[in-house]
Amino acid sequence: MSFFNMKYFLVTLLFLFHSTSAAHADQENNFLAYDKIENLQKIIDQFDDDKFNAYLIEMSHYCFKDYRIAICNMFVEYRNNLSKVNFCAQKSSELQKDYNGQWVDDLLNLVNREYIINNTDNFKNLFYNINNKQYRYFCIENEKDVVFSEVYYILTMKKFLNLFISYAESVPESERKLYSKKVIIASSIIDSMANPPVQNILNRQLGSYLNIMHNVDLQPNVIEYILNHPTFSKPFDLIKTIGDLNAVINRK
Amino acid sequence: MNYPIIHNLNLKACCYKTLDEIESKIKFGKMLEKSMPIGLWVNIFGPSPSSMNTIVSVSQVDFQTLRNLVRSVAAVPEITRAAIRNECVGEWFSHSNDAKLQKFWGGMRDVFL
Repeated sequence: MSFFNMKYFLVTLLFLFHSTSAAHADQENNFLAYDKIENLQKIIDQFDDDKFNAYLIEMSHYCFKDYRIAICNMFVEYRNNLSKVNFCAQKSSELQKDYNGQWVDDLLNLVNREYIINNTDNFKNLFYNINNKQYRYFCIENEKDVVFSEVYYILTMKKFLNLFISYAESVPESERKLYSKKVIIASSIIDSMANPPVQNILNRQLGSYLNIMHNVDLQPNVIEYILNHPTFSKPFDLIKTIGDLNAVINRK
Repeated sequence: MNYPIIHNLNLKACCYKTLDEIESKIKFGKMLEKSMPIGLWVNIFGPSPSSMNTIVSVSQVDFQTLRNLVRSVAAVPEITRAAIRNECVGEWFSHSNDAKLQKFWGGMRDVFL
């Protein structure tokens, strides 16, 4: 069993300690990003302890209830931002499906077919570069919000859990056994916080960080025409675009 | 949508790497059911080749089956699907001299539409 799967197995097993059904455990396993607030509250509440509360106040000036409220509020904000970024991605997808190949005929009014044939790679590279930029920027404001709120949410949750682990390590040896299972749960939750949405959003292709004219050598008026064409001013279907370009090249 | 079937596809090591990245994206989305077998693609495409120069022949790729597989194991959020589609389009573009691989990556993109 790989480390990755071992980790999920462990988290799953640990959540079953305080869950009466497998379905419930499934929900809790997904608490980080898309779960219900009630399940997050349940996860936090298992660390509710008078002595830990006193430790929290001493170490961080905030009590258990403060952490509970703040983390839940951060989670709600984070979840709302996730919804917005998913909505934006959906909109981007719909715009791509609305792709219209009219640009080809418009282009043929500007240059002849031989010019397209002689510059096929330049055209393809330009479309590819535009597509990368569209992918990078179309939802960027929503993405900034989700990254920002995720960082606060995860860091605060980790701080809270690390304070619990520190507290459990600070108690006399004879009492530590009482907290051993919860320490394992806290550690597993920390380990499982692998920033999933950030991972998905920020793993950009290298190309999106290169100049839009990278590997492109076309007449300035052609570049200007393509960059200003409505088809390419929003997310578009690159595969269909290059398919239409190839259709012009292969025309008899 | 009609999903194509590709016969005798020669998958390159770079393709496997992207398939692994797609699987990671799904896993990082934490949308997998616990009953999911280890390795989303391994039963269809086989294990990743150890050498970058290895080309693995896959006798048949049925995109309807792939789509059903993806649907059955994961409720993938749209932002993750968009990132996966972008990976597929990148592979589609970089294999412009191989019609079968282009068909494969175009089909993979459509699986996540």
